[in-house]
Formats: sequence, structure tokens, C-alpha cells
Amino acid sequence: MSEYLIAVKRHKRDSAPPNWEEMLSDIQGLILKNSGQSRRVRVDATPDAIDEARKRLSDSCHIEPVMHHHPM
Amino acid sequence: MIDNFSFDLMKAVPLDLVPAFRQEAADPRFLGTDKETIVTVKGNRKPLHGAEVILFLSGPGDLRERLEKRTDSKGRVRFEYASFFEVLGVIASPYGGFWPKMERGGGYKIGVNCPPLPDDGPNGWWHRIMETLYDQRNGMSSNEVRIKVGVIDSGCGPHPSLKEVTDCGAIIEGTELANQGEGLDSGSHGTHVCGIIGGRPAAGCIGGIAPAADLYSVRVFPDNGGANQGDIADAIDLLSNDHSVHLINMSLGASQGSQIERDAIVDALERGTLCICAAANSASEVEFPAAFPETVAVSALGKLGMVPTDSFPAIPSDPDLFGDNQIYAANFTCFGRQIICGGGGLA
Repeated sequence: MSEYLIAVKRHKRDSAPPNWEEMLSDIQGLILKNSGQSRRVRVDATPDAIDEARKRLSDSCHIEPVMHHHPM
Repeated sequence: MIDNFSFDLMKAVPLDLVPAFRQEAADPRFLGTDKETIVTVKGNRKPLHGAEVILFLSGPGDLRERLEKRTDSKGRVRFEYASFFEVLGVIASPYGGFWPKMERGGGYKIGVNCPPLPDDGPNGWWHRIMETLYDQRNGMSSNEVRIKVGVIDSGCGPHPSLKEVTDCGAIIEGTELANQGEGLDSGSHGTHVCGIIGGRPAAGCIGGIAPAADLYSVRVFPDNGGANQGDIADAIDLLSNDHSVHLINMSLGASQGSQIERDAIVDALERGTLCICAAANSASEVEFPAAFPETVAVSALGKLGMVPTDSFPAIPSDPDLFGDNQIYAANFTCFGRQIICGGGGLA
């Protein structure tokens, strides 16, 4: 499993399905980690699960692997 | 016959000559840590506690590794690594009061003596270049611009020159941590950044470039590890939306750009908050979020003669890279057409 971040695209905020987080919760192999706490949802997902998430939501949501930033 | 053939791999091919093709994915048990280096960091001949030490290693082929740790109360830190590595050098960055220092080469023991920072504040060379000077008589700065500046970093303080920074807590793994102390610096970087921007100097300390600015600090770096794009985006929202800051400083970066982070930057811009981002220190292309067109990317500048010659070498060898007032772009600063301006990176 790898960690991902999912958030509604800013230009899709008016048209994204209001139940987009629920649409993630029933994907096998995907675990929601902080649903409801932030506009950006953190998930742990298998490769198949994240592919399914992309099929369902990539039009309205950014789905990205976690990117670690370092201080400069 | 093969089943009668006895083959001792360890004798036929000594382990330290076997290149680690998949070192990143290798089980650590098979890499071994049978070599060690002890680094001792001192300043004014006294051990420096909490100094960040980076050990650079070279292995077979192009294999490179870097290990990071902090020194203990005796100024010491111990690194363990596989025997096929050789030490290229170390960089020691003290918590405060002393310049970072690089030592090339190494072995079992490496001693690093860090030169002291100047204590003749509150003006540094960058104050003189930007003509925002403190009056030595009354400690007042000529820069009286009162704006609100957010700092997204490793936290802030405690520091006597930063008592008036608003602690906005921390955002770690999507959770806002607002309890007292959560916004304190998990290292030293955020404190340094806040000080450069808006430190109101205690006696002898260097002052910020905009001491009249109101600073708001959010910690997004955990105690160990990097900051993720979700926490950074949440912090941008918090500072721009809840605190209406005019500027947000992000001296952090990643080699890949996040659209989640970019959306937050654009949202902030529409609210009137501009994000100022460090270009990065990897001497390559500008990193993100500085590379986004909606931010201001800032490279690191130094002034000849202001950095000890035996400190971290950042001075270009090409004289054509020096500008007016002997200002130069540091060797380590990233470059590209996204750069809008330079700042006192070697301050």
C-alpha cells in the first residue's frame, strides 16, 4: 500500500459529486485516513484501488502520491 | 556435475566488490552496517548540541547516500553504514550562533570546528544592500512596513528576537495541532527564516529585514521527515483565509509539483496573498512550489568576504558570476527562468 492525497480540483468545486469521499470509501484496498478533517483526504491504497479511484474521480479530483518537501 | 559443485560466493567474490544494483529496495539485513564514522562538532572549542550533521557517502559505481542526524550533548553523532561506502565529507549546521561548516573526506572520526557568527548586530550586509538599516542608538529599523507575513516551515522559537510571532500551531498528517507548544520549532530552520524576515533583535542579535511586520508561523514539518503537500496546502489556507496575511514565505520544496498545492496557492492569490518561495539548494532546476508561475521564486545570494572561507563553500569560481557590491548567486542555489529575485541566502 502507498499513501495518496485526494482533493477536488479548484475549477471543479461546483460540479464535483458532493459524495466524492463516500465514493472512495467502498473501494476495496483503499483506506481513508482523515475523512472530514481536511479538504484534502489522505488514503492508503493498493495499486488496483488507486486505479479504481482514478476511474471514478480523476475528472473532478487531483489524486497524487504523497510528496515530501524538505526545508531549504 | 552441478549438484556436486561446492560454490562459496563469499570467497569467490568479496562482498565489497559486489555492486548494490538494487540498494534502495534491498533488505537492510543484507546491506550490513559494519562501518561507522563518529563526527564531533564544536564551536569556540565547545561541543555543539543539536547540530544537524549530514554525512555524504560514495559507493560502487554512481551509488551515493546521505545520512542525517543531530549531535548529542557532547557534540557527537555516530553514523553506521555498509562497508562498501567511503565517506566523501560532512556538513555540520549548528543550531545557532555558528556558521555551517563542511569537511571533505573522512574516516572513523571527523572533527568539525564551526566559526562563530558575527555578534555585531543588528545590521547584516543584506540590510546595507537593501538600505533597511537599524539605528544603533535606539534599535529602530528604517523599514517600518507593517504587513502580515505567514511562514510555513518547521515552526518558530523559542527565541528572544521572535517573541511576538503569532504561533498558529502545526498541521501534521492532515490534523491541526493547536495546543501550546505545537508550533515550536522541531529543528532550527523555521526560527532562522522567521528571524531573517521579521526578527525584532535582542541585544547583539541580527535583526529581521522587516521587523515591523507581523509574523504568523505554522509548523508543517514533523519531528522527523519531510512535509507533505496536503499539510502545506492546509497551512496556506489557514494563513490566507483565517489570518489574511499579505505574504506567505515557503523556504521548502520538492522536485515534483503538486496540483493540490498549486490550487491552494492560486486560491490564496485570489484572496490577495502572494506566496514567496525558495528556489531550492540543489544547484539544479528550480523546485516546487517555487517553479509554479503563481509564486515568486527567490534564489540565494551572498556577498564576497561575508562568509568564512572555511564555511560551507558557496562562492562561485567564475568572476563573471559576481554582480554589483560583490554580490553573487550561491553555488548551491537553483536556477531557471522562474527566478524573480534573489535574497540573502548566505545571511
